Amino acid sequence: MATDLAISVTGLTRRFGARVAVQSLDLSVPAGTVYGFLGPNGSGKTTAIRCMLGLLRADAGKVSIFGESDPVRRLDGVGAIIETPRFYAWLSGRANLEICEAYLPEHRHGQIDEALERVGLLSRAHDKVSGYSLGMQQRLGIARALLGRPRLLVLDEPTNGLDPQGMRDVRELIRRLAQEGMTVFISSHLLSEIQAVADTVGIVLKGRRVAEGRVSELLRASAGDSGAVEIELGGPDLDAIRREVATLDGVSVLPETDPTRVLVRSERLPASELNRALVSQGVALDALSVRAASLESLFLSLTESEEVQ
Amino acid sequence: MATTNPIGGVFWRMVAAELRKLLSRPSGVVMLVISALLPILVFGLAKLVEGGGVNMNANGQPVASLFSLDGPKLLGYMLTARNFFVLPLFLVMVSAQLVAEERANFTLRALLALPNARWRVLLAKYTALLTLAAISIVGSLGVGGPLCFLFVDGPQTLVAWQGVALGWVASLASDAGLIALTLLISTFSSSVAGVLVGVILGLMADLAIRGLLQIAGMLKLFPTDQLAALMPGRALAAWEGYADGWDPWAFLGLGLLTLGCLAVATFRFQREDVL
Repeated sequence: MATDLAISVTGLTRRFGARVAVQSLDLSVPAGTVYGFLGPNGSGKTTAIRCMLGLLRADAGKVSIFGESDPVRRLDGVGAIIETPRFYAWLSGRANLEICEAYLPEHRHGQIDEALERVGLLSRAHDKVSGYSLGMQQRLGIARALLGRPRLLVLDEPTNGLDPQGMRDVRELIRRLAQEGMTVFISSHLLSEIQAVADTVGIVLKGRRVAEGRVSELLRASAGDSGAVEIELGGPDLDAIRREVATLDGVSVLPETDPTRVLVRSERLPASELNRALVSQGVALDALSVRAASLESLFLSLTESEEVQ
Repeated sequence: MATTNPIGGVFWRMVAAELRKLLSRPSGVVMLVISALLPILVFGLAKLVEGGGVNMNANGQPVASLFSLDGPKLLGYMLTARNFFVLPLFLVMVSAQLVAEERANFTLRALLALPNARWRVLLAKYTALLTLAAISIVGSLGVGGPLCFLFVDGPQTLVAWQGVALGWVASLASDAGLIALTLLISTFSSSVAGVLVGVILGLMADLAIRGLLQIAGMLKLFPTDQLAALMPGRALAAWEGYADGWDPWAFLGLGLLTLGCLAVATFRFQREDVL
């Protein structure tokens, strides 16, 4: 069935006893994009992914992948890493991939070398997995997910255990795969990682989707139509800064975790005007920086508003 | 699209992959080595006893004088040795490794996230285990058969060998039942030790029930012979019929045990949440 959606999840619900892990979750993952799946620990991300892959039975809802909802057939064309990938440690990396390949339909055979090369493990392919570092096992997991050139790659925390170089390599690999037309569904708690690669994100809290859309649109919506910005201010007297900011129209003080800074949200005043206004009132500043709109601030504001509710 | 033939080429590749796992682990290799060594051990012991090398008496007479050895009989001893405790224990262990242990160390998760019905995955594992059992039997026979045929006196007619040969074939049927029982218990436990304990406790319970049935039979409360023959413990020993006479009830019990365990194991495996 032709479809523009790689993944369509409607009303997905999964309970564990009295606890609802995923509640009426709806997701729409456009084909050919990198989709970031975000949420704090325990928000139901991994449960949702397991339901999509048929590892967990859903209590309610529907999952279809490229228009196919049959729980077995929809997995054809999907490669996945779920949490930390595990292997038969007494076998080589190549042997592990050969075993996995045996379980794939015939038209997806014959790409072990290519998969190993993509993750830089071809030269270590004949070493036993028990001798691999955590990062190498993570890369072998990605190679396993890439077997048979899937149309959809599902990566649950793919950079776990990787050093900065490894993380950068994975980021570049994801970009390359996306350029080749593969849909990548990536779940991570590293918001900056997601922002660096994702076109579209879905954010889940307590098992429910609270936001979904293109990253640029979500950030714009988060800033508001007026183009509000967040500005960090520093100076010798932070209380004086807070007092003066409170008198300015359209500027409000935000909660800030850094005690050496005052974070404000300005609806209309640009940073230069704010600086001028404060200095004219005799408030000394030694730092002023505009915070770039980020998934992190969007995520934190959504999390905070959810906690208030 | 996934292959539409449920037992097609992909299925046999899955079986080969499972067999490769079994044969690349110490437990699988040790099982096959024991299968080959046991007949040699039995042969050596029998020759030792026959030659008077064992200075033991039974009912006041030397054991050697009570011991008449011929080829088919020795092959029967080898069959008994093969099916007594050690190799069945290994078979239970390797069966548990393919399901319970893979669940515990999360390697099963990767297999079940691939486009295959779960019953096919379980059937592939079952077929691989049955193949390993067959290799073990062929190994024992391959070593023990020539030893009995070439180095032990006795009837060399086809009829003389037929009974014990059927016993070896029936042994594979018993292994099929034991593997099915182990896979069923593996759907309840995620540790090899747990499965081993489960199988042993199950067979002990079976023994106790058969004891009660025997008492009920002696008291003529109700006919118990066929019922006892259908019980798993008796059914798994159906191969013993080569010596005592074949019991069709035991084979019926073995068939019911194998199919019943496989059906319930598949049902549970199909519905299992994989974490």
